[in-house]
Amino acid sequence: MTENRDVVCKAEYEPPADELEQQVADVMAEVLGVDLVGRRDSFYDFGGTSLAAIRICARIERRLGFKVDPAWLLEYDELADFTEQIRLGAE
Amino acid sequence: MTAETDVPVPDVPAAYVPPPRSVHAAVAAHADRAPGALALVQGEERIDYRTLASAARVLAGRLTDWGVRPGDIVPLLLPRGAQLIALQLGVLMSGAAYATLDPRWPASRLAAILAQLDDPVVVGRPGGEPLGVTRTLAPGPLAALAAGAATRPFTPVRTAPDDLATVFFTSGSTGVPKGVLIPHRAVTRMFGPGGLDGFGPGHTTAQVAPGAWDMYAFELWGQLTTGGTCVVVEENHLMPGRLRALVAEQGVDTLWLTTSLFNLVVDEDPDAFAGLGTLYVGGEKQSPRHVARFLERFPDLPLWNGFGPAENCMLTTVHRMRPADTTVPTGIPVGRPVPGTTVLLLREDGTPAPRGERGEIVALGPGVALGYLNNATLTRERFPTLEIDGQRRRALRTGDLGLLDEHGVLHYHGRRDRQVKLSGNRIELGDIEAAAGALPEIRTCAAVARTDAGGTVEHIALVYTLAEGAELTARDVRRKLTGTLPAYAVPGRFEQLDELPRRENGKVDLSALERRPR
Repeated sequence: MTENRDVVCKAEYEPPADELEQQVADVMAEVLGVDLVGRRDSFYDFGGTSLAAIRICARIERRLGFKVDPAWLLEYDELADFTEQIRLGAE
Repeated sequence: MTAETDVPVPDVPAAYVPPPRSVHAAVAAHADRAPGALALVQGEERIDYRTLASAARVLAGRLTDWGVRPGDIVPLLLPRGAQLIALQLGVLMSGAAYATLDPRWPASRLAAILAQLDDPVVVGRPGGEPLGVTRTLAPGPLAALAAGAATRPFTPVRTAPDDLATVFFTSGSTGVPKGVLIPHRAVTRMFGPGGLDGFGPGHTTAQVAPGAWDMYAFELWGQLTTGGTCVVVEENHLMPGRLRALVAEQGVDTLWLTTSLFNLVVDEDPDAFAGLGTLYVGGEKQSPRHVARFLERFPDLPLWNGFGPAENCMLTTVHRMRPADTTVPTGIPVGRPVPGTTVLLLREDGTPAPRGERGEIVALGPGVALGYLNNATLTRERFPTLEIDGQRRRALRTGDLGLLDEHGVLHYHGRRDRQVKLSGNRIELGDIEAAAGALPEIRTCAAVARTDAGGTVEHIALVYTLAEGAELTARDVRRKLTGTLPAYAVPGRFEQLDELPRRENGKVDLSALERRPR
């Protein structure tokens, strides 16, 4: 069941700014069961749990080839910040 | 059944009773027998039994110098790892018990627990948040600590198997964490000759469970009291890719996983299990679909359902899961008692339920905890003395409902109260309501667990109304609760209503809220 983002998030949707953000947003949306995830949307807005974080990170590792620690997502819970951590981790 | 009533319970089969041992005596026996055997691995650090035992003795001496005495409970606020393990062993050698607290818990929760323990020695990391820490231990390899053993000899204190070894803190229904008092015999009872599969020389487990959990003891002392090896996984979340490497590179062959993490690996990367020798899964209801999928892929890999509350330390029953179990209408059975444990079912009037009839699951034997810390009332209620075959025995009323089938296999039928399991974490919904109700902006609230079609808890929702004039977004409520609740107990959903639905008697209609669509 996919939920409509605007039902949960009161803030205006801000689209992902680049390809990596878009790819991460797609994985988050898929795991959290929501149609869209914006740059400034929090993982917690969509009911994110540590288990959902592990699932998201496992899929990012497998599909995009980055090493990702679920702790990053739990701490940097907004899409743009989480993606930045992934980028830093890859350097 | 009232707490004071002694209930005659006939026909309880005589259970295998292993020789009672203290945890540190069992570890020391292996250090004497095979000092060079590998005990612990953490990153590049490989620690044999001799080094572990020596480091623990040095730490025991230090603890004694700090004033720790037999019978004390020493709070430990250190991250998981080889050093914490040596310190825990050191505490036991000094004759005291340890309470491992998670430095990531909210400061207010830690303060409430430290106040209950009231011990002048609280060990933590130097330079960290103070959080009540009075003594510090800097990170460092165990070999360096062990080198001091010659200059400061320490003879471990002999403790009786009934003596307190550790205290686990679990969520309490009124917002105050409950400390479960675990004796040495409860930890050692299911390991060793005649014990559970997958432990002992030649076996290796991964240590992933949080230090404050009872299954931490399972992963750790299961191997160290039998001569096996434990690999510390520093990350708090086990990723499927990491699991694969643990099996391939570190030789991990025995693993405990919470049900939801097991399900996740089955979904995302089932081949990560390849090479394991024994897999224990539990902490929540099993998902027949995931178990079936696993067994199709690994028909010969022993997959065990592990069941039981912390009050009957670690596990009460285990069940080797087979494809036929995945079609049992009431769910996958939880199985037969572990070594040293007897299970019986009591009806509401306190009389024993015959096979096939539902009752409250009651555990007996050396796994039963000594009680709750500083809570004699709750201890009397949950740990009654029953008369069994003319013998008076302490029992644990688990609060779980179930039945024994005609083969003596236990089936779980849910809780009598409002305790739920989410991702393996035990959560009292009342604890969440107490934390949310303490916020001045919240007028009324209810926490409800929403389950999927298979009965597994999917998320916890906090449904609330705001006080007049209060302005608080869902994000605000969440942020405030992270200040008082451990992360795993913070609800995943926040739903503000104008009024909570009520039943005719005025009580909040919880079942209406449980059904409420997301």
